[in-house]
Amino acid sequence: MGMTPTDLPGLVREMLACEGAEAQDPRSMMMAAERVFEKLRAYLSQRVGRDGFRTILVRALNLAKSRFPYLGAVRVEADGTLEGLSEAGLGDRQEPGNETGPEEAAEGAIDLISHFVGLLVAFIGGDLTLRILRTIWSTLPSNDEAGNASHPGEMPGREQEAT
Amino acid sequence: MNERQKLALDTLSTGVPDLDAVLGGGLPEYSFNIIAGTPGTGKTTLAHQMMFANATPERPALYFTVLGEPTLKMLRYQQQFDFFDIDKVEDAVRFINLSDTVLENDLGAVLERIQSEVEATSPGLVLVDSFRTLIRKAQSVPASELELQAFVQRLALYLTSWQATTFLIGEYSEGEIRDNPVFTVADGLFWLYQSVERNSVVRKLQVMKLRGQASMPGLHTFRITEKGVQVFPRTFGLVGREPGPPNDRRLSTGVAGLDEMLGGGIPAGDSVLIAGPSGSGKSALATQFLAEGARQGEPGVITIFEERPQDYVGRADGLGLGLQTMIREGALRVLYLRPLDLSVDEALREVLDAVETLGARRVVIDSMNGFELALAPAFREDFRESLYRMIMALTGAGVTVLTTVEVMTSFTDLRFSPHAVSFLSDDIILQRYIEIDGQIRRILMIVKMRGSGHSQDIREYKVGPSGLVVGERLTGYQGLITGTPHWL
Repeated sequence: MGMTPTDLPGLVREMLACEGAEAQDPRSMMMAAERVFEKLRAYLSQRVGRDGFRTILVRALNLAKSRFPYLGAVRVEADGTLEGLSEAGLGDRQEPGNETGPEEAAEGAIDLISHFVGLLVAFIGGDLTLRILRTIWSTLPSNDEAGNASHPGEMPGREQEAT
Repeated sequence: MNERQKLALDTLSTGVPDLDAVLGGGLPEYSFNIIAGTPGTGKTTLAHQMMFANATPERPALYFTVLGEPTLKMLRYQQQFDFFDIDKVEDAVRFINLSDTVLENDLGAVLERIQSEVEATSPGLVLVDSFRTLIRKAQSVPASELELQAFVQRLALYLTSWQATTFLIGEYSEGEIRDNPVFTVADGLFWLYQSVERNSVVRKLQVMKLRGQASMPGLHTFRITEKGVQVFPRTFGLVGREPGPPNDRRLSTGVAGLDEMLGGGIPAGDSVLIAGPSGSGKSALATQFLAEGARQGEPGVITIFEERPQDYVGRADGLGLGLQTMIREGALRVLYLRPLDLSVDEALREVLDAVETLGARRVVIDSMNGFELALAPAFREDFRESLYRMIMALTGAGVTVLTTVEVMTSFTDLRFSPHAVSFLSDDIILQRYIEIDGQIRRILMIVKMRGSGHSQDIREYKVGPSGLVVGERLTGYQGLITGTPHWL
C-alpha cells in the first residue's frame, strides 16, 4: 500500500534525522532541512529537470507560507536552490514584528518539506515517491512499512528520534 | 566447409502481445530504432512497455527525457498501466532529464552527457523522448544537415558499441521520412497512426523498416488498454500455423433432417453460412449445432454482437438446449463483442484465444450483420478481406465455423449473400419464408457444398419448442423459391 498524507510528518522527521537533525534542537533541524532540500534538488533535477524540481518547490513554499509566514523571506533560486531558510527562521532575516521562535521555525521547515513530498505523492503516487526518497536516504522505511504505519506519522521499526 | 554460417541476431521480446510476431521474432538486440507518429498515438506508452519488459538491475534502461512531456506527468500517467513496475524504477529503470543540457548547449554537449550516463550505467536499453525536440533545438542554431547526420551517426555508433538497444521517440509526420538523416541511420522504424473516422478511433502500427529481420509488412491494428499496447497482426492466423490433418468426419448439426440433407452432417473444418430473413431460425440452428457438439464432447465458442449473452443463452435454453449448463461445464464460451470501434483482428484474437483455451472444435458467428456493425467504420471497408482472414484462420486450425447472415428477401427476389461472402463459405444453407394457403411457412435448402454431394430437396421446417425440426420435401408445388408457389 502507498503512503498517505497522514504519514508525511513522520516521514519528514525521518528524512531530517538522516541528515543529523536532533529532535530537541531547532537549529539542527533547520540546518538538516537545508541539506534535505539540497539532496532532493541534486537528485530530482537530474530526473525531472531543473525547472521540474524548482516549480514543485515554489508551490510547496507557497502552500507552507500560509501557516508559517516567516517562510515569505525564503527564496527559490533559478537552479532550484533554497535560499535563506535558516536565516529567516532563526533570526538573521526576520522582519520586525514578524519574529518566529526556533521551535515554530523548525515546524515550518517540516511543513515545507511535507508539502514538497506531498506534491510528489499527489503527482506520482506514494509508492514511487517513497521509492525515490529511499534511493536518497536508504534507511527510510520501505513502501510496506510506510503504508502500514499504525499511527499517523509513525514509522514502524524506527524510533521517533526527531519528535 | 564452404557453407557460410549466418550471424544469428539475438532478439529481445518486446513485452507487447503479438508485436514480436510482427517484428519477425522480436527486437534485434543492439538495434537503433525510431518510434514515430503524431502526438497521442501511443509512442511513449509503447516505449515504456518495451522498457519495463526488458530492463534489469544488471542491464538497466536509461530513459532520457527532453523538453517534451514533463517527467512527473509522464510518470503519473504511465503508472496507470499494468506493465509499470514501481520496483524497477531506479534499480532497473532510470529517468534522466536532458532538457537543461539541450537548452544550454550544442549537440556535442548533449552527446557527451548521454555518453557519461551510459558509461556510468552500462544500460541494455537507451530511450530518448522526444528525440524530435532535441533535433529541433539543434536546428534552431546554424548547423548543417551534415552535422546533424554526424551527430545521429555518432550516437548510433556509440550506443551500439556499448551494447545498448536504442529507441528514439519523436513526433514525425510521414512527409518527413524522405532525406531525413535520422531515418537513414535507424535500423528499425516503427510508425504509429491514429485516425478518427466518424465517432471511432482506430490505431495502427507499421514496421516501415527493420534491418536483419523479415518483419510483417502492412498496417497492424493495435489497442491501448490498462494493460498497455496490444497489437493485432493483420496476417494473424494465416502465418506460422500448421494446417490441421485432413478430416473426413461429418459433424451433426443437431437437426436430424438437416444432417440427412447434408449427406451426414457438416464436413469437419468447413465454413458454413446460414442465410435467411429475420426470424427464420438461424440462431436456433446455430445454437443447436453448438449443443450437439457439446453432447459429443466438442466444445464450442459463440460470438454474438446484437443480443446480450444472458438473453441469448436464456432464449436458447428455452429451446431446451442447456447452454447455461454447457457454459458452466466449460463446453461453451459466449463472446459478446460490441464495441463500435472493433477491428476484425481484435475479434479474431478473442475468438482464437477462446478456441485455444477451451479446445473448441465448433465456432458460431451470430451474425455477420452484427459483426460488421460492431466494427469501426474504417474496418467496414475491409470487411470481406478481414472476414476471409478470420475464417481461414479458424478453419485452418481445423475448427468448423458456422456463420449466420440475415438476407433481405421479398417474395419475388432472393439474394443468397448480400455481403458477397459466399466465396469464403464451403457450404451454404438457405432459409426463407413462403406463402401457402394464406399462411407463412418456412423452407430451407442446401445451395452449396464444396467438394461433396448434398440433397437437392427443398424442405419445410418448423421452429418449435425444441428448436428446428426439418420435415419432408415439399412436393406438389412449383416456384417455392419465389416465395409464392403454385399448387400443381
